[in-house]
This record gives sequence, structure tokens and C-alpha cells, in this order.
Amino acid sequence: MSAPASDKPRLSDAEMLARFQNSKKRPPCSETLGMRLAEVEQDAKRIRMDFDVPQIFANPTGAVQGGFIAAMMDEAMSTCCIIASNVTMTAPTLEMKTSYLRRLMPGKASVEARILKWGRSAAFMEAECFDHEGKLVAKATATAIPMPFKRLS
Amino acid sequence: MIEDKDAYWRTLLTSHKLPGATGFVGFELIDLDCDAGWCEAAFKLPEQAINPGGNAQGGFITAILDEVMSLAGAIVQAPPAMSPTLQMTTSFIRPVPVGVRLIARGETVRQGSAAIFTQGWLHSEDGKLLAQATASCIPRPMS
Repeated sequence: MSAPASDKPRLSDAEMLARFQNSKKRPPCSETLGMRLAEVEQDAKRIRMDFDVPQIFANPTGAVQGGFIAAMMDEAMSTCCIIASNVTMTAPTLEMKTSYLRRLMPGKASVEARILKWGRSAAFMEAECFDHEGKLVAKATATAIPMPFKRLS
Repeated sequence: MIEDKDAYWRTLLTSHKLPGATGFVGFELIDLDCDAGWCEAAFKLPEQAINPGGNAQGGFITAILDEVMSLAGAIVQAPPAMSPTLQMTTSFIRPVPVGVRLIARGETVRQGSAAIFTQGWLHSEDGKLLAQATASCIPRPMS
């Protein structure tokens, strides 16, 4: 069973995208990762985010350390949940599994995230991370618990 | 051939300039044992890791565990070596605060010729389990 639809009027995809792009109070982790929401498809429960990964997130080989790739995908999957709830809920991540297919160098990257199931007590998401040439760098799946925004504060 | 592996890694991890990712999560080596295949380190996340809920975003928690687990996978090999992560699963057990000293431990579960399996835990200083993870990686000599 899916979570109850909120009474809030729905925004169009373009309006939702603008709302996030123009937000003045972005969390520090979004700024840190150089995140920019690029596409929203509410019916498909899918988003795309662009990132500009700073040099400081490199490991000894110069490639981006895996945890920071996970951070980008967590960011995308969490935002996908917020949008799926029409910005009434958030979904703290319970567990996340990441497969690292190839190296990602600092600089431009993008992540596509989808909701597989948005349920009353659990949400299932997946994400793919691409390098600046569009090559698949990493793939992740995650579970989360949808919660009204106010219960977190 | 490096005789004292523990001393080699201790020197590298305390006196050498740390890589960016390692510095970002506030890595500070506590101890390690190459033969037993474990390492412990303290971490402190910066404010740049805060999520909308006011705690550390999950990816940065994964970054901490990846540091100690990759290190555990590296130190069991003949130095210098690395252990690039193939796949990692992190369970976010409790909210993780930023700006607070945290303790992480990484262990090698099995060292094979083509694969290394690792696990890791993140605790608060008063001993609460905050996150845990398992991973598979590959051995990679660097010399």
C-alpha cells in the first residue's frame, strides 16, 4: 500500500525543479557536493542531479573516494523521496548498498535516482552515478523510512 | 621488503600528508595490527556534512567506514598496497552527529588471492553503535 497522498496541491515538474533550484536554505551537505537538481519527473518518481566534485574528495590515487560517491547518490535518492511526497515528508536512509564499477575523477558527475516503491512504512530507491562522459561509475540501492518533516526537528 | 609492517603503516598514516578525502572526515589513527587485519581511527565530521535533519548525511558516514575498511584491506597485503572497494553496504543505525569525536574500526574478514572481504563499525565515544558496514574489495599492490 502506498503512503497517503497529501492534500497539498501538486506542482508541475518545472515548478518543482524551480523550487529546489531557487531554494535559499540548502543543507550544508548539498553545498559541499556542488549539487544542482537538473531534472524532475514526478510521475516516473525520478530525478537527475548534477554535481561538481571538489578535488579534496580524492583518495590517494586521485580518484573520488567511494564514500563521497555514496554521498552524491544518497543526496539524490533522499531528494527523490522528498519530491515523491510532494515536499511533505523526508526519508532517513536505513541501509544503502553501493557497487563501484569504475573510477570517478573529481569534477563533473551526474546521478539519476528513482523510487522503486514509496510505501507507508518503507521506501525503496535506486540510483546510478555517471562520469562527465556519461559512463556508469556506480550503482546503489537503498531503503528508507518515510517521515513527516516535523518529526525530525 | 618492508620488515615491520605495523611501523610502516603507522608512519605513513601519522606523519605523511593525508589524502583529501581522509582529511575531510577528520581521520586520526588510533592503532592497527597488520597480521590480525584490523585498524581503529578517530574521526570528526565537518559542518559541510550536515543533512536537512541536522546530522551527518549518510554518504559521509559511508566515507568514514570506507576509510577504515579500505585500510584494513590494505594492511593485510605486502606494503605498499591498496584495496579498491567493489561493493559496500552500510546500515545507518543511529543518527551521527557532526563536530564530535567518533571511533571507527575496520577488519579484514577474509583475505583471498583475488578478493578481500571487510567489515566496519562506527561508535560514539561512549560506545553506542551508530553505523556498520560490510564490503568486498580487490587486492592491489602499489610497488
